[in-house]
Amino acid sequence: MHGVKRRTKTKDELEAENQKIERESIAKFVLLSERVEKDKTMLESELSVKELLEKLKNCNDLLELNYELYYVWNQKRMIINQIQKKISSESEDHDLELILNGELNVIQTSIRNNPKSYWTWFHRKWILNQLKNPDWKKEIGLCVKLLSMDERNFHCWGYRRWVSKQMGENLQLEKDFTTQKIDEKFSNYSAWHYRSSVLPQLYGEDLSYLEDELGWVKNAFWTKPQDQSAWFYYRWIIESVMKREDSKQILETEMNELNELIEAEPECKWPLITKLFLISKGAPSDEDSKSILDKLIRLDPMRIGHYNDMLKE
Amino acid sequence: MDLMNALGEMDREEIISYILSCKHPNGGFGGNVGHDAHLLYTLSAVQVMAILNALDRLDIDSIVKFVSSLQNEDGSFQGDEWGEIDTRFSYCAVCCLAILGRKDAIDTQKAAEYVLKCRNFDGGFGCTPGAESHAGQIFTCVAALSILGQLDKIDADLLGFWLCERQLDCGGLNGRPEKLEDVCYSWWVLSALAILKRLHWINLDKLKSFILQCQDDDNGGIADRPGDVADVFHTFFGLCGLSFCGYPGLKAIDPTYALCADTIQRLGL
Repeated sequence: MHGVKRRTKTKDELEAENQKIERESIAKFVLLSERVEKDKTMLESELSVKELLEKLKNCNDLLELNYELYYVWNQKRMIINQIQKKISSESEDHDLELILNGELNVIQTSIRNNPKSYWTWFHRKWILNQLKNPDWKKEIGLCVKLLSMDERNFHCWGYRRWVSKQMGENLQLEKDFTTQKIDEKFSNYSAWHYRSSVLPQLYGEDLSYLEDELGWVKNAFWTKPQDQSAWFYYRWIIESVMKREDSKQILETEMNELNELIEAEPECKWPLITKLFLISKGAPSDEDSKSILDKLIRLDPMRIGHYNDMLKE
Repeated sequence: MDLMNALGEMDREEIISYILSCKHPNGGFGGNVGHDAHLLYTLSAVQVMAILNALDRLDIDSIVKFVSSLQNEDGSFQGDEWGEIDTRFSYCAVCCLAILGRKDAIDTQKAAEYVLKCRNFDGGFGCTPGAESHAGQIFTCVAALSILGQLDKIDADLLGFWLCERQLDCGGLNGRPEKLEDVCYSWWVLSALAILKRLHWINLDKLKSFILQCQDDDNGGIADRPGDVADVFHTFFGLCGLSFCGYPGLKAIDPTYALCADTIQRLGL
């Protein structure tokens, strides 16, 4: 078109437009809700697989607008149970595995749009439990992909743990995965946590792995001493070390190295808190706890309540 | 509303009617009319009725039957018939039954054992055994263990330390290391610390300032963080946090049951 000038919309016009869009969304939601509600009453009668699949699609359409409608996820499962019953009674010829895999695709989209919905993740587990031949490798692949987008998604980490168990739990693989994630980002507390539950299962009573682990976690907090993740993990490693016969020598070495870090980073509270922890485990110290706590109160006044309680002890 | 001494501004009978309309024949309650029964909403229903002093309007036996039917052999609880297991549901079950005076209906020893299986290397708790510590789950597990009389099993110094490290420079609290502050952690973190008698490990003045900054000046209420839109959820948790901080004009909140202290007294808990 020629000669049509642009006109900036006024605030009122934009407001009116937004309200129109909102009204339309609400109308769509109400329509889909009513449809799903009506479907539920129809589930009490004998429906064909084709009809049941339509009801399933209605649920999916509604969930796309709100993944937190837990009762709609329930309705999907009721429908799928009916489909399974119909197929197994051989009254209809449909490929159940195909239908269930279709569900997995729908859930994958849900997870992409709302990766923190408890209901969605549970439904995926439920579907996998219905499949005769679940592709566990594919599920691990999904976890790898999602954790590359959000390395702290605890739903996904939990899902990976669950999938790993279904696959017979390759603990070395799980350990290697945590190594990779921590190397990518030292502040990945979720990976450190997962590692803390994998290693004792992998090594059992054999505590020789702790030396390598000590070296590795120290590399993390020497590189980024402000990052709390490695420090929490380190405390746990030291607790584990206490079960070893050479714990006394290890504590002495650790204290010496920690003192070097304190010299290099005098304004960082974490090495000082950890020094107190090592002292509590019996490590020899050049400085007494009170002096360390006075420094901590100066560096970290927000937590004076905690430090004062430690002073009283 | 109860926290703000403003319960009288709402229609008590209307609320009771609404809650009862969410009830199912199996004794459980849904989140809204026609929504399926679930432990989460069953607890909410019982809590609301407790606040309104209307527990006598409930069919307590049927609720107890519903809740106790959801306990598994290993002591865990599923949320409903579909089988999702989570320590949130352990708390819902245990808290609900405690309010109704019917903890005897479940295996409390096994319930506590399952919660303790969810304890982690950092002293915190996750949603299932092996799951990462999260302030929300920590609240549910600590509160559940408190109700079950097994608080002594928690390393309170270690967990208290982890919890007080949730406070960031802005005064707000996060739910896990390296995550953003959010007003709802004013409840999850503070209630857990209060139960562990370590509330003073948090700088309450700074937290109070943070929560107040999260108010929605245009529409009222409290949001998850400054500048965001308010919602009922964050308003409740923000007010709870302010109550813990001693903000004037608010009732004291019980950290285990999320009910005002006077309701707790009335219930004899």
